[in-house]
Parts: sequence; C-alpha cells; structure tokens
Amino acid sequence: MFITFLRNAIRFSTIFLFGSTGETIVEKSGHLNMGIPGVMCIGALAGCAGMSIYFNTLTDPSQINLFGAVVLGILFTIVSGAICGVIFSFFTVTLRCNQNITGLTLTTLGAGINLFVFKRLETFSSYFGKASDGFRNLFQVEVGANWFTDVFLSYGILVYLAIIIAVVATIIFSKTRVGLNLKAVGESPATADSAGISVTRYRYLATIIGCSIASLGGLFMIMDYLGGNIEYGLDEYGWLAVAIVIFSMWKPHFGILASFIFGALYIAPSYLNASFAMKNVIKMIPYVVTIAVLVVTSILNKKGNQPPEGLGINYDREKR
Amino acid sequence: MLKNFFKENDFIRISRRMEIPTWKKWVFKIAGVLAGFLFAAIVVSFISPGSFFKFFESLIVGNFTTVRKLLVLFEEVAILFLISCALAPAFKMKFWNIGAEGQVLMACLGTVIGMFFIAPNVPNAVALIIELLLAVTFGVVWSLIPTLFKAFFNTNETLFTLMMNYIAKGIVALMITLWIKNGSGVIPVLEYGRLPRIGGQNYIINIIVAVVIGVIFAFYMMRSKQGFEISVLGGSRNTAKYVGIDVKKVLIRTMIITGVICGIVGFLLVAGASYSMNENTVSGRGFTAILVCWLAGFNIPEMAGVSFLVAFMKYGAREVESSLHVGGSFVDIVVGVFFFVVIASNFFITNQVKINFKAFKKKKKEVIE
Amino acid sequence: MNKLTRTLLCSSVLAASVFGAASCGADSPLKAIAKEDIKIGLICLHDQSSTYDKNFIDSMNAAVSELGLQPSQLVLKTNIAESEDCYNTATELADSGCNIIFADSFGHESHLLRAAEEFPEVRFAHATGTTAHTKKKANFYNAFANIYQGRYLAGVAGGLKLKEMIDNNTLPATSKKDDKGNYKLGYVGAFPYAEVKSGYTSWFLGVQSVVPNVSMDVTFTGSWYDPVKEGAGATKLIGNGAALISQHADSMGAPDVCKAAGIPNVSYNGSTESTCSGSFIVSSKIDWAPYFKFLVNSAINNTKIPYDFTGTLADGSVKLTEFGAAAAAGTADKVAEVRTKLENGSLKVFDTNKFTVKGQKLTSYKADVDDDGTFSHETEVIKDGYFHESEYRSAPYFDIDIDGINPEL
Repeated sequence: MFITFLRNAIRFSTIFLFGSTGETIVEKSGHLNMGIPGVMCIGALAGCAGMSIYFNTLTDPSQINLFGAVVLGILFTIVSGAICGVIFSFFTVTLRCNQNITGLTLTTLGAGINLFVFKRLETFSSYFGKASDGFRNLFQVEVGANWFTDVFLSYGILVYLAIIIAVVATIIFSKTRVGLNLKAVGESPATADSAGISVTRYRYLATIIGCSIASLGGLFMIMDYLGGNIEYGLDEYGWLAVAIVIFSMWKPHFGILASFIFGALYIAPSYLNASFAMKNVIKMIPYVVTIAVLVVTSILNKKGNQPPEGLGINYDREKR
Repeated sequence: MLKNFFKENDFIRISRRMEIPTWKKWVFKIAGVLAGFLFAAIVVSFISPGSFFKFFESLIVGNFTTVRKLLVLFEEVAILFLISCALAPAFKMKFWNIGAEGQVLMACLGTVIGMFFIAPNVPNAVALIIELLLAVTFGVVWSLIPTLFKAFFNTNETLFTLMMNYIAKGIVALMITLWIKNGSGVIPVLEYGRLPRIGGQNYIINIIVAVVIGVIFAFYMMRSKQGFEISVLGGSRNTAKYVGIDVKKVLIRTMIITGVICGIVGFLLVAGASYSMNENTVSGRGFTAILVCWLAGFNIPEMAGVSFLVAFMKYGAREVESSLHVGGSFVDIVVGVFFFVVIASNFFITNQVKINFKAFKKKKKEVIE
Repeated sequence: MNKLTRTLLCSSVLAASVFGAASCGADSPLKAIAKEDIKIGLICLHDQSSTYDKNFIDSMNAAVSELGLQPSQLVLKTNIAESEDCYNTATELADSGCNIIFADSFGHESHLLRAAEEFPEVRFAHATGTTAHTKKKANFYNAFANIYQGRYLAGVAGGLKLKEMIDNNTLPATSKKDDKGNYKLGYVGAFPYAEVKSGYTSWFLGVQSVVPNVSMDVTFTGSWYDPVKEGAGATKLIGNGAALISQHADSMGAPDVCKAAGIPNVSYNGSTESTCSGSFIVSSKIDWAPYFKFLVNSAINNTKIPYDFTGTLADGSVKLTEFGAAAAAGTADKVAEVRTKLENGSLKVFDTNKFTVKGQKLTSYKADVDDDGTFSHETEVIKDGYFHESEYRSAPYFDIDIDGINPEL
C-alpha cells in the first residue's frame, strides 16, 4: 500500500512540478504570471483538441496509434502554452499593462474556455480513455513486479519529462551565461539593459518557454493522472503550483522535492483510515506545512532564497 | 522582429505620455469598456451564431428588469466593492494580501457561530451586535497572522495568505462536520439573528452599508494622515522612513482595517443574505476583488465603478447562458474577454500612438514607382 | 388523458392520502394552469458537465418533449450555488412567470423553501430534500425514489460477478479476504449521512444475497465531485483487498482506477461502458422524467401533489443501465427475477433477518425522519420484519451501521 501511495504521490506531484518549473522560469525574468492556472487549463484543452483532430479520422479507439497521439497531444499543448506566453508578454512588455491584472484575466479566461471546449469534445471520450494508456504506459517498464520498478520505472512519459526539465532548468540557471543573464534581468532590469542584455527578448522568451512547460502540467493531469476524463477544472492545481514556486525558493531542483512533499500530503488523507472529522483536519496539513517551511526559511533569511528583486514590475526604459 | 516594428518605423510612432488630461483619460476608459462589450458580443455570436443583439438584450434583462434583480445586482456590487476596499490599502502599500477569500470566510464562520449558538436565546438586536463582533474578530485574526510574520520576519505574504485561504476552507468544513450531526454537510437557513429586511425587500442594508463605508473609506484614504502614510509607503520604503513613518506599525494597522472590513463583509454575507454558509460562500469574490482593485488603480470611486461592471457582466452573461442554452462556464469566457479588452485599452492611456498617414502615402508612391 | 397519466394521477392520490398532501381547496392560492401557460424553472447546482445535473437536465428535456410542451416553456438555470443564489434565482423565476420550480441539490432546499414562502401560487419541488412533510407548505414538495432497490439489484449483479470470479478462480490478484474469511468489497462515498448509507447498505445486501461471506470497507471523500480524491479512495480500497467496488460520488475517478487495476466496478448515475469496458458491470440511477411529468400534470389539473413523492421501479423512476460486457453470464435473467420479487413485495431489501447490528437482529429502530434541526430520532420504522425505507419520507433515512460494513467514521 505504501508503494502504491508513493507511486501515486510522485505521479500527482507532476502537475505541480510542471507548473512550478514553468512559473519559476517566468518569474526569474521578472514576470509574475498569475495566469498559470489558466495556462494549464488551456494546455490541457489544446492537447485534447489536437488529438481529437486525429481521432476524427478514425472509427474506433482501438485504431489509435498511441505514440502518435502522445506526440500530437504534447505538441499542441506546448504550442498553446507558448501562445499564452506571447499573449502575456505582449500585454505586459509591449502594451505595458499591469502584470497581475493580465495574469488574473488569463486565468479567468482559461478556466472558462476549459470546460466549454471539453463539452464539445465529449464525443471522443472513449478515444481519450484509450489514448491515456499511451501517456501512462508507453515508456513504462512494468507495474507490480517489485518495489523498485514501481517506484522508479513505472511512470508515463510526462512524469519523467517534468523531472528532466526541472533539472535542465536548474543547470541552465546556474551554469550557463543565458541563465545568468536571465537572473540579471529579473533582479535589476535597468542594470541588465545598460549591460547590453535585451530585457524585452529575455522576458518574452522566458515567459513563452515557462508557459509552455506549465501547460504540460494540464495535459498530464487530464491524460495521465485522470485517465483521459476531460471534464475537470484544473485551476486549483495551478494556484498550488504558483505557491510551490515560492515553497521551492525559485530553484527548480528544490521544486521536485517541494512538489512531491506537497503532492504526497495532498493525497495522503484519502489513503488513511481516519474518521471523517479527522480527515478534515488532515486535509489542512499540506498548507500548514507550507506555511511552516515559509516561516522557518524567512527567519533563517538566506539571501539566495528570495524572489527576484524586479518581480512583478514592468520594465520601462524611459523610467530608468 | 515585431517589437522593433513598434519602435522604429515611420508608420506608427509610439511614445510614452508624460501626462494626460483627465477628460481624455476618461474617454479612453469609457471607450475601453464599450470595446469590451463589443468584443464580448462578438465572441458570444461565434459561440451561438446569430446572438449578437441577444447578448445586449440579455445584459439588460439579466440585470434591470425587476426591482429584485436590481437589488441582487447591487448587493453583488456592494460585496465586491467592500472586499476591494479591504484590499486597497494593503495593495497600495505593496503588501500582496491575496487572502481576502479566507478572511471573509472566517468572518462568515464567526457570524454563523453567533447565529447558531447565541441568536436563538437573545433579542435580535443583541444577536446582531454579537455576530458582527465575532465576524470582525475572526476577520482581523485571520488577516493579522500573516501580517505579523511579515512585519517581524519578512515572511512572504503572497504565499502565506494563499495558504490561509485553504486552511480557512478546511476549518469551515471541519466545523460543519462537527455541528451537523447527521453528516450531510449542509447548514440549513438559520432562523434567528438575521438582518432585517427593509420595505419587504432584501439586501437593502447590505447596499447601504457598502455606500457608507465607501464614503468613509474614500475620505480615509484620500484625506486623512493615515491614508497619506499609506501612499508614501507605497511609493518608497526609504522615503517613508526618512519622514518618520513606522513601517511595521502602519502595516499592522492597515491589515487590521482589512480584517475589519472583511469582517463586515462576512457578516453581511451571512446575516444579510444567505443566513447560512458552506466552504464556497465567498465563491471566488476574494480573488475577483483583487482584479477590481487593480483595474481601478486603488481609487475608491473607480473601484465602485469597476465592481458594478464586473457584477453587471456576471449577471448579464448568466442570462445569456440561460437563454441561449449554452452552459459550461460561459460566464467566465465572456468576463475574461471583456477584461482583456479593457486592460488593453489602458495602453492608450499611458502611451500616445501617432499614425503617420503621410508615410503611408509615400510608401505607396514608392511601391508604384 | 392517457393511461400513464391516469395511473400517475391515481397513485398520486393514493400517495397523497398516505403522506398527507397539500390542500387544493377552492381558497388555496394554487390554481390549475393551462398547458400552454405552463412554465418550468429548473435550478441546477452545476451544469451538464456533472453527471448528477446532466441526469436532471436530460430527464426534464425528455419530460417536456413527451408532454408536448414547447422548449421555451422550460427555463434552465445552471451553476446555482447552495446559498442565497438559489433563493434569488427561484424568486426571479417566479417573477418571470414560472409556475413550477425545481431545484436538484440537497443544499438548495432551505433556500428554495424561502422562495416558496413568498410565492404561494407557485409550485416548488426539491429533489433529495427532507423538510417538506414537516413544514407542510401547500406549495413545497420533496421527491426522491426507491433507489435503494436499484442499488440492491446492482448489488446482485455485482455479487454474480464476484461469484463467477470465485468459481472460476479469476479473482483479481490484489484481492484479499478479511480476518473472518470474507471476501472484501469497497465503496467510495461522498458524505457519511443517511442518503449515502442507505445506498451502500442496500448495495452490500444485494451482493451478500449472492455471496454470503462478504464484508465492505467504505471511504468518504467529503465532496460530491472530486476525481482525485475518489480515485485515491478507490486505490486505497483496492490496496486493502477489495475485489469489487461501487460508489456514490459523481466523477469518473473511481471507475477509472478500477479499470486500470482490473477490478469490477458498479457505478452510479450512468453507464461507464464506453470508457471502462472490462470493468463496468452495471449502474443504477433515478429517472426524473416520471416525476416531472407528474408535476406538470398535477399543475394542469390542480390535483394534489404529495409532500413526498417516492418514485418506484414500477413507474420507471428507478432504473438500471444496460449490463456491461464484463457482467457474469446469466446476470440479466437473475436480476430480472429479483426485480420481480422486489416489485411484488415478496422480497424486502432491508429485511431484518438479513442483517445484524452489533450481532443482534433489529426489532425496533427510530429514524430521524423529521428533519427539524434537532437530529432527534423520533419515528419507529421497523414493522413486519423489515425497515420501511423511503415510506415515511422520500429521502432515505437508513443511517444504521450494520455488521459487515466498515465505514470510516
């Protein structure tokens, strides 16, 4: 049972990992994108819409080429995430609108479009169910053989992808020039600009890439964790992903651990044999733990754990 | 690249405005709102062909055609407006309190405790006072907890207040489980401790309270010394310190005000509207109010206007959803599109766009030759 | 008036005399409404994306078309919260000329009642509610159905599958017996109150009638719609050795987990065969069309509407879906046999010989039938050797924890 719980906790944490890694990249550039919940919703529906175009050419779910469906879904999702990133950056960098409002509006719109489009994809529900096998099983070794393969080798592609992306992001942040430039743009765009780094370009690119990554979280939730059941709202998980950015102190490799801890605590009440009233108490634990970690780290107050100085502020060269 | 296009060509020149006359600002704002309605109508007619004019008709029908609808509309405006008022001073100080949802919810819990346990046994007026006190206390406690940690340890308030929202929901769920012994998880409408109706109509008191508090609060923010301190702190921490403003003290005082107003909102929501509560009583209005607050630039009268627009769109879109049989979170799409257009229109307030027609003619000439 | 309407009218008059019904005298504000003046308002908690509300919406559309009403005579209000939102919506519907208003969620009841008090000439009906028969308002009614019988039949189908697996030695690899040697069942419920308890107890008894040595674990999610929690609950039950799972919650969370784990699943409110073939056995559901048609016809003829209307297998309110491909051979015939016995009264689901409480047979039990906020159990419900579920009130009141069922409480 513990192995099952562990495995499902790792799977569940993937949505947080995609969301927080993506948003960390965005925030490193100085953009506070509160539209991540909307981006996840849009990512999920774009992936499903893309797959439905393919399904439309088939007559029966058993004809689905699982590999093709997975690739198609991921492609459409990433593109939709990128488009969201472009929209956000356009409004905030080019039109110089307030980041918070833009982000919140994106979330409202994304959450609304989500269920609306899914209603129209209802006819393909059996196809989505079959396709989710692809997301879950294609790269899997096997389930139930022994604890090692269960805990490490039994996941769908998106789970591994999330971890890889988080690690790569950390390496880029700390070891490459691009990463260093990005950090400069986030901390002090004026300084970066005078050093010749294009603030506009870094902000646009970071937001586009970050949103693309976050959108995969939505695709994962619908096609892997929920088995292709498309009519479910995702924005709550988006907010928690934004929280985990802070919880992980803007470091994606911490994000892996933070997502896992939070995810495990979130689903733990369902696995315990506790009374109904007790479960209400246990459900609050992930949030209390997050606050505790937050308080402790702020008391310890290490420099490297703070948000980028320029977070949330649009850069205006003329105001320099 | 596209960005360069905006800066370095002859056809469209974009420059930042240094200042803008107030009348011009309002022209753009109103144009933005109208454009928002237009775009929303266009989106609606895509989703449900032929419904362009039906959209506007539904906006009116959904909001204005009976006294009851008007009161429901203005009650929603009142709630959004009040929560925005609660958030405004904190946001002005750059203290990102996104916990209004939880603060109002806890205030609702306080009110319900008063209505459930005390109101059946005392005269109504006494019950109402106790409920209000409980609501305000709960609201203040919930808003102060993250504030104190910020004041003394510089703990990030965004995440703290967000988590407090979820914990508030959990506490409410727990309380309901313990009180409703048959396990159904539902508190029925409570009989005692209700705010009275006026003239047989609902929500009048809620609306009056919002107006009164709005006026008082506008004076507080714009004319009082404390309001001035908040603006200075929002500008620059260092300036504030030089002027002798105690940042911690102002922060705590401001968040107490937030808690008090959230307390009043919770009291109004329960004793003045629903006479009951559950985890979803605030239903996202704590977050919508953030949007309202920002869009209005923390200006109290403008917040009233934006609250009206949001509520108006919500009930209008609901009417559209119902009359066109669309369903599926249609309201969110319409509201979202509307806001995007309004936000974009803000661009024209802060920037001047000059279109160089002569350059077009010149280019055309060049091409022909 | 066609035969069905006449039958419904007769049964409603009969039901009215049993339950005590709203007065329809000459001085009552309730009047007869001409068919073309009928206007129905349907208030839904969510919208068509929730199987619970979709069921009501589909039933209402079916009733409207079968009665020959125009689509414009139905006003649908979706995403109406369990708060003053319901009261506002109901009163607005009444203002706009609706003469029948129906709300579908448990938490809507007391808010709908407030509206009923202000519009004595409009008929207000509420599904799953409990207070109509104590409030005794002439224009406020509750409705439900003998879904416990549907669940019992679904349990029989599940039990036949379990028996087939036992006989052919094809039980799921994860299934275990409990320490008394019983095969294990699992149930994912939302809230631990009578409606859910009645449902899972009747399902359990249905399984037990086929495979006597079973026990059941019940987990509660605290939400009517949460795929993640429902899936996790099902995972836990399977991990604890359940060989067969059912549920009272509205998402695909549990059926999906069952399919992936190869565990047979009895779902609720709709067939999952299209996505879960291989694990789906059958589903029970309430068809609301008979009640909706009854409401409209009662309004047209100004006949008594009972405070409690309980739909039955006979009038089509309680239905089973088609059996899934995974159902055991012979299930349809066997279930039809049991159904006949339920309908003619020779078999009682809550027969006190079929279950024990703390080792004892129940000879007397007072249920909380009158929901007056005191949670007092005041009505004796055991007579003639069985628990009379849904007879004194349409909403279930079986809230007993019987032996063999282990709820997390």
